[in-house]
Amino acid sequence: MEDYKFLFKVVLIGNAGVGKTCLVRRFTQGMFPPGQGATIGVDFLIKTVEVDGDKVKLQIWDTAGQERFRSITQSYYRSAHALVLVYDISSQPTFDCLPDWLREIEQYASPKVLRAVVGNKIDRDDREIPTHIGEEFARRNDMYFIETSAKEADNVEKLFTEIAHRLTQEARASRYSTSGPAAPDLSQSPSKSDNPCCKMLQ
Amino acid sequence: MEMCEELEEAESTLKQLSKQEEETCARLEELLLSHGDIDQRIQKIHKLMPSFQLVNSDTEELNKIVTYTASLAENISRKVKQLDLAKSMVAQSLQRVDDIMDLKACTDGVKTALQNEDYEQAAAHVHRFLGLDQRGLRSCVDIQEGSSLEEAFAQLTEAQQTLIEIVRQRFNEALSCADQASIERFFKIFPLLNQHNEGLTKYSNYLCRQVTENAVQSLRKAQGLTKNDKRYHIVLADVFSMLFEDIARVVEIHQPLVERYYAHGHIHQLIEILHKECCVQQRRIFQELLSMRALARRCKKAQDIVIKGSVERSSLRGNSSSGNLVQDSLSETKEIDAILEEMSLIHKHAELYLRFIKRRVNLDFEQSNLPPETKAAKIAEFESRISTCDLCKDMQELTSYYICLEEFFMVESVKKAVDYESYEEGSRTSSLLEDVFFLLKKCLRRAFSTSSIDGACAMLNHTCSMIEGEFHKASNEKIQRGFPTGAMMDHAFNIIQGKIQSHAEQERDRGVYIVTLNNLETACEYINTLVGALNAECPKRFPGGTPQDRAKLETCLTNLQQSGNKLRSLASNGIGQLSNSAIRPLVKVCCDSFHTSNHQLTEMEFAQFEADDGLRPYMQQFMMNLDQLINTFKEVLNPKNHEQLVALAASDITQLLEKAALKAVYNRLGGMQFDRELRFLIGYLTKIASWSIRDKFSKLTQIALLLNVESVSEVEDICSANVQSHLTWRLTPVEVRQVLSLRVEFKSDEIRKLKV
Repeated sequence: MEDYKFLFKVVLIGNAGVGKTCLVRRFTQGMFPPGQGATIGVDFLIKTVEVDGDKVKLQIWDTAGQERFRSITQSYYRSAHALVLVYDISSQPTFDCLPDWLREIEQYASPKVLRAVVGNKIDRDDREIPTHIGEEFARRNDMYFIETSAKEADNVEKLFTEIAHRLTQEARASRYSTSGPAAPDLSQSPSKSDNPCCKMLQ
Repeated sequence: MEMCEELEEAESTLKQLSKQEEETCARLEELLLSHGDIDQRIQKIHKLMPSFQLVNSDTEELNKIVTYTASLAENISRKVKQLDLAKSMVAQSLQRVDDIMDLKACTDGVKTALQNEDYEQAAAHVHRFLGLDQRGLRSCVDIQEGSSLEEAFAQLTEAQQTLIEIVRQRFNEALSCADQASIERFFKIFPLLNQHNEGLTKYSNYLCRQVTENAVQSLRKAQGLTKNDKRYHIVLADVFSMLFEDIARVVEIHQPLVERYYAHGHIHQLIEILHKECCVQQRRIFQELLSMRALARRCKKAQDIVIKGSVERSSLRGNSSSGNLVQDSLSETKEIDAILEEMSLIHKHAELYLRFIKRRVNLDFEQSNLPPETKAAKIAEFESRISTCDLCKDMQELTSYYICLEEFFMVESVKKAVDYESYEEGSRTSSLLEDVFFLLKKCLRRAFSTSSIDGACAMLNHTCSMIEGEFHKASNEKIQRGFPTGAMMDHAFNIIQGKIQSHAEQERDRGVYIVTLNNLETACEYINTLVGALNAECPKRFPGGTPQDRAKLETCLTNLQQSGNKLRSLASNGIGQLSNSAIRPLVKVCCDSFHTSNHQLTEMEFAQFEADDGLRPYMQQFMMNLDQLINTFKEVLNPKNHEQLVALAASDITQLLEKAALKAVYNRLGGMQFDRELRFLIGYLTKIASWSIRDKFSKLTQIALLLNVESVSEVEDICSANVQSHLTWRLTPVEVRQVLSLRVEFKSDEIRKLKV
């Protein structure tokens, strides 16, 4: 059995070309792939991080932004622990689509899912969305907000670390509130623990 | 004194000196002896002197000879080098002469060949000319002669141009009148004139025309088909398949020709042109598919229903829809089933076709003379061109529609299975289980058969959602209703319940409860089997998958398995409830009786019980009731569930009986009676369940053991014996003393003094 305490599924969504794949590659492989073609379907990468001494495995699903892959990507929403909604700070249309994406999340994802908004490409000087506009959007929708640059590796680590941190805290809290620290007893009602956040492996 | 000392000193000095003298004499003698020997040696050396001189002179001689030989060899080698150079120059000259002769022959030959319309011959001459080292020839000829050479060159270049013109013209003529023989004839001439590109392009375009014609025809035929036709439901899959097969056939036939006359590394041109046409044609078929099967409309509707359904069903359940609507949706589901079948076939065909052309091109490049880096680059270039082609895009769109409709089909069919669940007499599970898993198997198999990894993954995800959603919910609702106890255990006890149900109602609810438990447990088994089967199918279905693709698929399959585990934990939960409501009361009654009965038995009482299996009446009653109950459940529960129920019952018994046992007061015979009854009970449970049940009783067994001792001192023996046999002693010292204090005969200070 692999050595990790929690496993979380993180799904990246957003319009085509906002840099989802670059964010994931930067985080998982430490590089910025030049001349990346459009993602086809869904890509799948894994990275293990440490949160307060516990190994946390992040299963990152990097989805295609193009419309014709929507029904594939939607199938991943429901089991996601965190949904990362990415836009391009130098492209107004990618920001304008955020409400549509939110609607999709509400339709398909678990209500308890952790949601984050990410403004990518802050290395560019043709910014169209000021930071406070993005912040405001996130605040209104109760989402975590951060601006990043996959190219310059700005805030990428912080984004995923923050997600891992929040999910771990949530999982710990729900573990203690449902079954307590003791080993789960089969005869106890498992219906309360349908929280998808915590999949423990011993 | 002084003198004396001096004397002694002198004496010792003398002694020393005489000893030294002796030694010196001995050495002198030795030297004298060796003198003769040395003389001899010197004489020998003297004798040898002249021969050394000889050696010296000889060596000098040798040196001279070697130096001479070396210079000679150098000389020779220089000459050989010159000879070589001369030889290669001669060869080159001969080559040039040959070339010039060839050039002459070519110049003459081309003329006559052209006159005779022998284009193959003419092309062969031109090919020879093109293969000549023109610059080399120019450099080795003087200016006067050069003019005639240039003339020949000019003539041949001109001939080449004319030939190209003629061949081009004739080829075009042949193409326009589809004269197969001439087409092939001129097709072969192009590479001889270094016109690979033109020849291949024109020829490929010609071949495309056939493909186009066939595709247009088959599509028209398909459009003319009526709904009653047997193949109506998959007719567009047929049209797609015909197109792909047509192209594959063309490649199959013409690849050897291209390889032979154009060499390896050229087939990609032919295939790319054909593929471009394929993209154009398939798009027309795809458009027809969209409109004929109304995919967009259906998908929109399906999405609405799925989304609305999940909202509606959570708020109110029931058959609010009229019969007409049900009928309507039933035929709709059937239609969608047929469309899904067609779509999965289309995707499979397309995937097969793409794999075919990729393999052909790769192999062709591999066999070519290109340097390895160029090969790899060309292959990558080709693949990236293919991956962004219209066919790929349309197939991705098709997959999108497919997933949407397949999800709808699955969700709707499962809803129906839930609504129309039926219970068959004598079956441990209900129709729901078989219906749902028949559907899941069908949908997932179909998703896998599309050969689309993303499609398969998406359907696996939807399956997880369905199992953890609809199926889990339907089962959970039944479990939450609880297991009504009443008439079934009438003879044993009666529990007054708040709600009064009719006998039949209770009977039915009990049946539903049990069947649901069995459904859940079997569902988990089914999921494991299904995941295993799908896992085994992967290499066959997705042979071109990258390691990353496989990891993706495996993760989705693992998630499905975890969904199964959630069902199992729901089943465990239900069995816990079952044990609580059906078995626990029985155990309670027994323990109450145990508590109230007298455990200070007389010899006569003890002997009296012996007759009835050694059990007291209430214990006998309990055993009978328990056996009856467990047997009843054994008939209706499936083995795993039953096993779990027995294990839970055993836990209940140990828990309650332990409490009761610690509350009573015993004499020796009372302790023995308890021990006897406990052994009987354990014996019974191990017989119907597994040996491991014994473990649950170890603490209770130890309590009985202590209650049964003759004297307090015996306990120490027991304890030490246990240590030796490595038995785990479940009782703490405090508990041991507590148990012993239940024996009326034992004095408390004796117990206190006991070393445990």
